Amino acid sequence: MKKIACLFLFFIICAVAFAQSGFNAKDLLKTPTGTQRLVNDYTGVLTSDQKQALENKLVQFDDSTSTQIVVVIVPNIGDFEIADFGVKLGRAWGVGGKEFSNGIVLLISKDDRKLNISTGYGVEGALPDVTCKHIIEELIVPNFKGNDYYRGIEEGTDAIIKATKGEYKVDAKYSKKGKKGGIGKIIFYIVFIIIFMAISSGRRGGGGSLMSNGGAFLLGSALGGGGGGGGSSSGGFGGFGGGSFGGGGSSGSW
Amino acid sequence: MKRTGLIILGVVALLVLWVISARNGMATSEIDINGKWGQVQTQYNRKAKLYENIVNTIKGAARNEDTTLIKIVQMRSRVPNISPESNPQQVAEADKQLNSIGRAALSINVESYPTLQATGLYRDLQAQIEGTENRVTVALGDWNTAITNFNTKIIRFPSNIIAGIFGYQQKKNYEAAAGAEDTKVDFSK
Repeated sequence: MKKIACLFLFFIICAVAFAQSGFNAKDLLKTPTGTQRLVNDYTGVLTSDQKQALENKLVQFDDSTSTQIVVVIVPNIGDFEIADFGVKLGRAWGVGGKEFSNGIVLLISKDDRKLNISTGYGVEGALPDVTCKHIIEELIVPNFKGNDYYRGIEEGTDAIIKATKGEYKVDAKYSKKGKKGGIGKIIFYIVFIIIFMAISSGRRGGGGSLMSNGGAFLLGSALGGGGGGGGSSSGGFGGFGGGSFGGGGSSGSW
Repeated sequence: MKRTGLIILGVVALLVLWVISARNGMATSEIDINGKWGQVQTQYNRKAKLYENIVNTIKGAARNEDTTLIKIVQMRSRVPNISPESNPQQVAEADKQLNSIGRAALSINVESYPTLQATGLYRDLQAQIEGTENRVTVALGDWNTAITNFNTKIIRFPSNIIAGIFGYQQKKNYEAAAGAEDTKVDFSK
């Protein structure tokens, strides 16, 4: 009996260990689950403070210009080519708005020591391949060579922001329009149903407050794209917009 | 009696609706292929123009007697023109010729082109060649996927019956021209 229990425990430990060690680049290409941020570190080279600082900067840029810059740090990319993987990832996640395709993916494959900047169709003009190459070679690679990942990403994203700053302006509807990802839509429907239920129950019970409070709260979180609760909907990243990529950008190694 | 009539009518109506939607699905897929093909041509033309510029840049920076340059200029004269009517084979052939120009341009000995080297122009050319190759690859991939989608639609039962009625036929997928695989330029070296 004890033996069986031991064996069972062993299997569980194995399964857990396997689940943790098994990073599969292919899994990243599945449609977003809503857990992605603008800074995604699957390797742990960034501290949580650094991640937060970068995230805040990129969210702020997204909010003010609607241009989305995504940083993805992975241990490896399997059998993919780095430029190909950048395009596939950008498409799978839908980085950038659907209308303008103004998304940028900064992909870093740590063990291969390769990196890539992929530009969406809409930013190919503001961020031509040569500019991407310069950013990689002059700003990111020197820092990466000195093992300073944070500074490399920080300076690289600053340069990308500088290049794309004037390209798109955010319109008043952006907070709603740009953030209608898969999850946003589902939440929208849920909210709709809840409001409907609230109205009908309100009529019966006479409690109008339920509808106004609950409705407003849920509407708030829907506009936040499920990034956080209704209260914190102002600061978080609102989700990807469905932008597409056509192979623009550049790659490098360190 | 009346009920069976209604049932038959309902089934027929459903059938007609299904035929319409299947037929429209195929038409949409076919249009999608054309759109993706347009993208291939756009990217191809972009590439052709870029390579024209590259040849001119190298020509401007090079000493005239250089054999690489002569080779590149000769290659350029062999690149076929493509038009919207060009079939995939013609485009693939033209693309292959362009790739050989790109390879030759990248294999030049930078040392003997001081102007190229000094301005970092050569590295920029590399970045542009890389980018344009990627774009053509992506466009071709998308086009191929569109063809596969279309083919899947018209070969699967029961929609293959509709495809037969309306005369839709399988389209050929793009096959990379022989030797196309060594055009991949490894910039990490």
